[in-house]
Amino acid sequence: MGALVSVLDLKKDYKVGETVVHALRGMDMEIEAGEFTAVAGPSGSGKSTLLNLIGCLDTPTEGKVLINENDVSHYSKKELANIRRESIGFIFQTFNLIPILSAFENVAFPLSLLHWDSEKIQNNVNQILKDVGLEGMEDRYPRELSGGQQQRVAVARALVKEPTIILADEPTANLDSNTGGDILDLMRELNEEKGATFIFSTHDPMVMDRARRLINLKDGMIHSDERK
Amino acid sequence: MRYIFKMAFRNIGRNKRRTMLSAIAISIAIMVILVMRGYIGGIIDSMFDSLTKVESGHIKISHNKYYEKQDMMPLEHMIDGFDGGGYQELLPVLKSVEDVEIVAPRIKFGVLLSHSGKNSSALGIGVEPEAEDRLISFDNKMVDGGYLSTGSNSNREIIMGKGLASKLGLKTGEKITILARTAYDSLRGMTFTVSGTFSFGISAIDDKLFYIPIGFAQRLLEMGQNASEIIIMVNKPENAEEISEKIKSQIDSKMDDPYYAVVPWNKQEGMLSMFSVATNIYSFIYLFLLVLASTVIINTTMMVIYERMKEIGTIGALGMSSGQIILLFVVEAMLISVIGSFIGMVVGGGIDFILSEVGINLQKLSGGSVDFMTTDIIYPRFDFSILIGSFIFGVVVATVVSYFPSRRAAKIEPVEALRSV
Repeated sequence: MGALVSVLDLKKDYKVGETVVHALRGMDMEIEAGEFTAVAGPSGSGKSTLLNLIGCLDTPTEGKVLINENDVSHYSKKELANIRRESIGFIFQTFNLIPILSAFENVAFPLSLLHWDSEKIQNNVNQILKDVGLEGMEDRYPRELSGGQQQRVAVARALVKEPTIILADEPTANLDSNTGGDILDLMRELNEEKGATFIFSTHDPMVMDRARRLINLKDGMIHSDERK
Repeated sequence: MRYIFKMAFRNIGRNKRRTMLSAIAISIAIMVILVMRGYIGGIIDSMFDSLTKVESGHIKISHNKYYEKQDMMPLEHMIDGFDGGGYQELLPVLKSVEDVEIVAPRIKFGVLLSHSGKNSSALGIGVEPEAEDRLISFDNKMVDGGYLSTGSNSNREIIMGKGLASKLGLKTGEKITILARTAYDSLRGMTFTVSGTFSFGISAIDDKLFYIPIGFAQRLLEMGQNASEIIIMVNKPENAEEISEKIKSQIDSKMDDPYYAVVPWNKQEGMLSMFSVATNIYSFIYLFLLVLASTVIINTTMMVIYERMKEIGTIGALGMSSGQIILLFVVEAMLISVIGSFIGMVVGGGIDFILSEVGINLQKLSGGSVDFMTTDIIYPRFDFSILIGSFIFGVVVATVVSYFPSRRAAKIEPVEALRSV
């Protein structure tokens, strides 16, 4: 059986004014199911671009992205939305919770998109909120939660539909080191307990330290790939 | 779907002032539309009522040749029954047709009236007093004296519009001699006693019209037992065309060489035929007004899209489809238009209701006499179907209009939107 995620000779160019920026210059790698992988590197090394491509938020200029052996490189906008809805969970640097929805409703949102019935939503959301330590805070709105609590809601939102891959773009960047550490512990716990596959981009040495696999990028290429 | 409504409902509460501003724009448009519709409806109702009762009926029967030149009132082309026995021959046939309510024969003629050295052109109508009273209800129109004697008590009586009487300096009880050109083009005179004066509240009628019994009109105009037209009122004016066809076939079946024109109100030339055109033109004006007001919603939607760029990126990243994103913004606009249309319906409906009770005095507003076939006081049309119709109209137009800016939200790539912060 093949890898959960494969990228083959992946290239992505951006046009900034008249200049073409080569964000990824031909990258090959594989990520197996259940991995807990950090993608590190300096700004402009291509971390976010790689995550956007794996997360089906963007399409490559050249090369392929295979998810569960399906080439998603040439998927239509609708097909990409479908795969994101069904198979991918996102955790953003700035949490990106929907301000008009309570913690419960934010977590329930991806399930509503999947048309789950309300009883199943109720059970799953309550369980995951308990798992991330937010029991009793279901009715709070994002503005009533601390940064750490908001990121826990975001983690719960990413995990609740039990996606194939969870992508986290610098998940600890907006948190103090204690809270960041807690969130990281939580993600690792969920990785171990539920077998969820995490791929996150980071600058944070603490994150790199706790990852089981560390891929270092430099100038749009893989500089090192180390399994711990 | 439920979560889209929930999100849209909460979203419109995020900037209440802006939501209210958009809603108020819609509500003002709905208010104006409601009051305009009521007012124009009132004018149309008033004109329709006057014109059908005095002029066209719901259906008018006349000789083909008379109908062609009816402005000239050519008395030589008369309704003379089926074989010259007089108009009375037609009445039982007409009354037997289903849905016919009133059958009123008339002779119309133009004269120049003179009294005490004062002259005025006038339009005389010879009528069967009972039938005409059923048609016009003179009880509430007589301002002085009484209506024409009915039944066998028919006298040489005349009733005239109060404006006409006043122009001629005539009072109830006084006599006036009418000199008219007969059907055979000779001149003939007859003296009548003024039994009363009436007012329709329409200057064009009150300054011009008089009624005399049809028997005396026949003698004055040398018309034998004939009439110049028969006015028919039916229970539902909208069915007039269908009923006129039934009448025509019944009359024609009794004649070897049919020569009567049976014309429903909507097929007659003149103002009545303009009603449907006017109504369509006003519908366009209403639509234009509402689209204009909806530009506020377009503006709001566009502002909201730019403000919520990151959120659109997030929901897109979570897998919300383009269609669902469009729907979210369209539902928001719809909720705003529901609020606006409701406020507009209540306030505009309230104004319309009050005006429909109190009336609008056109004569006072225009500073003089109103020279078209409406009563001087217009009572705007008020009914719930107009209220509900305007509400639905407001919601549908504003919602449809909001679709166009909402498409912009769906075109935003999640990756671009997430990068925008």
